Amino acid sequence: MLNFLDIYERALQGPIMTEQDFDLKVFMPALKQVTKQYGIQYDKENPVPSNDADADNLFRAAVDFLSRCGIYCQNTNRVMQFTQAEILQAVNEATGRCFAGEGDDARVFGMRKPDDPKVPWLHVGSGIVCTTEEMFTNLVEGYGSIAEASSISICALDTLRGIPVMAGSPAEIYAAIRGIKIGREALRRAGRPGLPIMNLISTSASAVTTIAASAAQFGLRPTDGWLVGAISEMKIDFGAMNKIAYLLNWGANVGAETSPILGGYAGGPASTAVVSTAYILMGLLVHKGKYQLTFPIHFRYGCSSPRDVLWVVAASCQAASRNIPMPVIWLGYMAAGPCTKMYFYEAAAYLLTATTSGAPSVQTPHPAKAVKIDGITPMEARFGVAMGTAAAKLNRQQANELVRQLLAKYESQIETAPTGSRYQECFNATTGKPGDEYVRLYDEVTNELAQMGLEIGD
Amino acid sequence: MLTFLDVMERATAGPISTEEDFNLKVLVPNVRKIVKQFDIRYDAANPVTTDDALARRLFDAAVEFIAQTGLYCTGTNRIIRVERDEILRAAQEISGGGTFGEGKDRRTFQPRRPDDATPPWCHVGTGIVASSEEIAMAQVEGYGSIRQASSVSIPAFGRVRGMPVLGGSPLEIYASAASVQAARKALWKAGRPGLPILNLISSATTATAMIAATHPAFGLRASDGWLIDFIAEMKVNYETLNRLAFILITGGNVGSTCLPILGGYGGGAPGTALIMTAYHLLGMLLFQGSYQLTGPVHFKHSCSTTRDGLWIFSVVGRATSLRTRYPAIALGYGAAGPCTKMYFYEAAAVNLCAVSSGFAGVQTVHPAKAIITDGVTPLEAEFNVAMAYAATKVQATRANELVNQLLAKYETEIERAPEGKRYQECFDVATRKPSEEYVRLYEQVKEELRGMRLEIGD
Repeated sequence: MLNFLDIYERALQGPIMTEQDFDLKVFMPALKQVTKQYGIQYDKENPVPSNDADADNLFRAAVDFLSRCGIYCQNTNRVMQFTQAEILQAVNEATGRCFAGEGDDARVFGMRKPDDPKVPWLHVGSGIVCTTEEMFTNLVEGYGSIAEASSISICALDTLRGIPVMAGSPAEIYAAIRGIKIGREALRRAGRPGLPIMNLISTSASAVTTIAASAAQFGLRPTDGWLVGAISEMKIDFGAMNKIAYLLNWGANVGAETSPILGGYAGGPASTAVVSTAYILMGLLVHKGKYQLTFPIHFRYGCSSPRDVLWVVAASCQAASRNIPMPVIWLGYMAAGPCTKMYFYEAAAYLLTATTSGAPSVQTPHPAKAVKIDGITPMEARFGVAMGTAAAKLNRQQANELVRQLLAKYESQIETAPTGSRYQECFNATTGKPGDEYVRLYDEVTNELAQMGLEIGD
Repeated sequence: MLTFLDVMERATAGPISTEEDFNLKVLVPNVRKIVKQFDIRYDAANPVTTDDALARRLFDAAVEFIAQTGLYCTGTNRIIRVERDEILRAAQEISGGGTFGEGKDRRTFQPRRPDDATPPWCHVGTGIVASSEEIAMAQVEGYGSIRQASSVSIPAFGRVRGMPVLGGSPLEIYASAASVQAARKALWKAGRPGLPILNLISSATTATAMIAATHPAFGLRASDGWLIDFIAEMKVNYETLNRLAFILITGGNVGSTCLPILGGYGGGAPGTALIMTAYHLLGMLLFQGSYQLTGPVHFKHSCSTTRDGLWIFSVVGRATSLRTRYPAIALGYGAAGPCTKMYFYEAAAVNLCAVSSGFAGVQTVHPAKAIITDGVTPLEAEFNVAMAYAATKVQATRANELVNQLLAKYETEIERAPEGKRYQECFDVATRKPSEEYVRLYEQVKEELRGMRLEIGD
C-alpha cells in the first residue's frame, strides 16, 4: 500500500505543469474520453437508476479516469500519478470501517449496499455559521437529543469577543477551541458525551487552526472525525496535506471531503458522476481517509437537489457502495431554507436517492445552500433522521418513483427557492423548542409524505 | 495585565500603516531620535560596559521607544500600541522566569544581576540542522551528558527519507515530530529524561508544523519551552501570533525570541541595543514569556562576536537585569566553526560579556554562524558551560580586559573565519567520542585561557 510519504513524494516528483494546463489539457480531455469510452449516460427520466451493471461500469470508468488524470498539487504544481494497479490495491486493502465515538456511543461506521434495509449511519447537524454561543449550544444539544444520531456536525462561530474570525488568524484558533468546548458541553447536557463530532473543525478554514484546536486538552479524541478537503476538481494543497500528515501521525480519523461540481470543469451529469466516484477513490488513496463526506452540487444553483445532481448522487453512490469499501457520508445542499415545505421535499428526495443507492451514511440536508447564518434548526435534523430511516425500507425503483413525484413539487422553484427562517425566528432561543408554526408545517409535510406512501416516524 | 486577546484587539484596531511607512516614517526616525535624546553611546574601547547610568538610560529609552513606536503586525498592517505604564507595571510585577523540566531536572529560571556570582542557566546545544537522525541523537545525547546543563536545544532535521524538508509542507510535520521524538530518546539514553527542551520546534519554520508536533503523542510537555520570534525589526505576523496563541492557551512556556540586526533598521550599536532592550520588554509584556532568548547579529558578518556586538550584549544585559526580573538567555553566533581555536576565543568572549553583565542564562555559542549542516558538537557545548562557570568568578571590569585580549586574537579574522569541521569529521558517530585532534586542540585552548587567569574546569 502507498503510505502518505509515498503520496507526498509524488507531489514532489510528478510531472510539472500549470494549474490551467492541468484543467484544460489533462483533466477535461481525460474525463471526456473516459465518459465516452465507458458509455456513461444520464437518464433524465430516472433520477434513481437501478442497474447494477451500470454502477460497476461507472466504477471501472472512475478507476481508469483517476489513473489517466492523477491529482494536482497546487503547491508543487505537480501531478501525483497513480497506476490502476495502485488504485485497485487501495480498494482491495480498504476495510470499509471507521471506529467512531466513545462509551455508549462507540460504534463502527460501516458499509451498505444499494437496496440495503440496514439503516444508514445517521450523521446529524451542520457546520453552518452560528451568531451566538447560546444558539450553538441549543443546536448541538438538539442534535444530541435525537436518539438515532450516530454522529454530529457542530456549528461554526464567526466572531469572538466582537473580533471577527479571520481565516489563519489567532482569533480563529481561539474561536475553534471555543466551538469545540461548546460542542462537547452541549453533548454532555444531552447525555451523549461519547457522541463523535465528525466535521472537525467547523470554525477552522486553515490547517494551522485545525491542528491547534485538535490538541487533546481541548476535548477532541481520535475517535472524532476531521474533514480534509480536496479542491474541485481533482486537486489538493499543502494545507490539506498538512492536516492529513498531522492526523495520521497520532491515529485520528481522517475524513476526506469532496464536492464535485456539476456544470463546472466536470461538465454534465454523466462526467460529473465519473468525477464523483473518482473522488471516493482519491479519499482512500490520497487522504488515507477512514471515512468520507461528499456533496455533489450544481454550479449554477449551489445545491444538490436538482434532478441531474440527484442522478449523479445515485449513480456514483451505487458505483462506490458496490465497489469501494469506504464509509461515505452523503450530504445534500438544499435550495430552500428552514420552515419551508420546499426544504422538506428536497431533503426527502435527496435522502431517498442516497439511502436506496447504498449510502453508508446520510447527513442532515443543509438548508438554504448552507450560506444563511443561523439558518438551521434541530427540526431539519430530526426530519433527516426520520427520512433516512424510512428510506432504508424502500428499494431503488420505489425511491425513483417517489423522487419523481417530489421533483414535481419543487423542481421549478429551485431558482427562486425561499431562504426560510433563521433559528431564532422559528425556535425559542431560550428553551430550544420549535415555534408552533414550524411544528404545524412539519406535521403537514409528514402527513403529505405519508399519503405518498412514505411512513415517517415521529 | 494585558491578555492575548487584548493584544489581538490592538492588532485589529490599531493605527493602519504600510510596512514601508512603518519602517521609514516611524521605526527609523524614532530610533535615531531616542538614541540621541537618551545619550546612548557606543564605547568601542570597552566592549564590556560597567556603566550603570548608561544601562538605566537605555532601559528608560526602550520604554519611550516602545511607547512611541509600537509593534507592527504584518497580518493586519496595523500598529499594536503599548502604553508606558503598561510596560513599567509589567516590569515591576514580574517575579522571575518559568519552571522547566521534570523530575530531578525541574528548575525555576531565576534572574541574575551584573557581577553576580550565581552560575547562569546553562542552555546547551543548538538548532543547527542535522543530516541524519543518528547524528542528531549523538549530539543531543552529548548535551544531556553535560552535568551542568539546565536545558537543551535540539537539532533540526533537514531531510526525511531522503526528501528535503520544505517549510509549510507535510514533510515539515513529519520532520518536526521525528526530531522531538529522537531528542527525547537521546535524553533518556543520557539519563536525563526530565531535561527541558527550550528551542521548540527547531525543525518547524511554520506555525502549522510547530503546533502539530506539539501534540503530546510526540513527547513534549508543558514544562518545555517554545520559541516565539519577533520579526526584525519591531514586527510580528500571524505565524508568530498563531504560535503564541496556541502556546498560551495550552499553558506552555513561551520563549520570546529576537535577533536584532546590527547595521539594519536599528543602525549602529546604540540603536540596536535600544531595539534589543525593547524586545526584552515586549517579550515580557506582549508575549507573556517565561524567558527571553536574544542576541545581536551583525548585518555584514552574520555573527555576534564583533566588538560592537559584544558591547550590545553587555549593555543590554546590564540594562535588563538591573531593571527587570525577566530572565534572558544570551545567544551568540560565532564566525568560526567547530574544531578551530577561533571559535573558542569567540565563545569565551560572549560568555564573559553576558555572564558578567547579568544575563540569567547563556546558550552554547553557535559555531560557523549556525549555517553548516552537522556543524556543531557536544565539545563546544561543554566548553561554553565551563566558560560560563569560569565567568562567574570574574567581575565586569576584569571581563572587559579579558574580552579585549580575546578580540585581539580573532577580531581581524572575522571576515575570513574558518568554517571548521562537521560532527562526523571530529567526532566518532558510533562511540560519540571526540577525535584525538579535537581533544588536543581543546586542551590547548583551555591552557591558553587558564594562562589569562580564567578558572576553567575540566
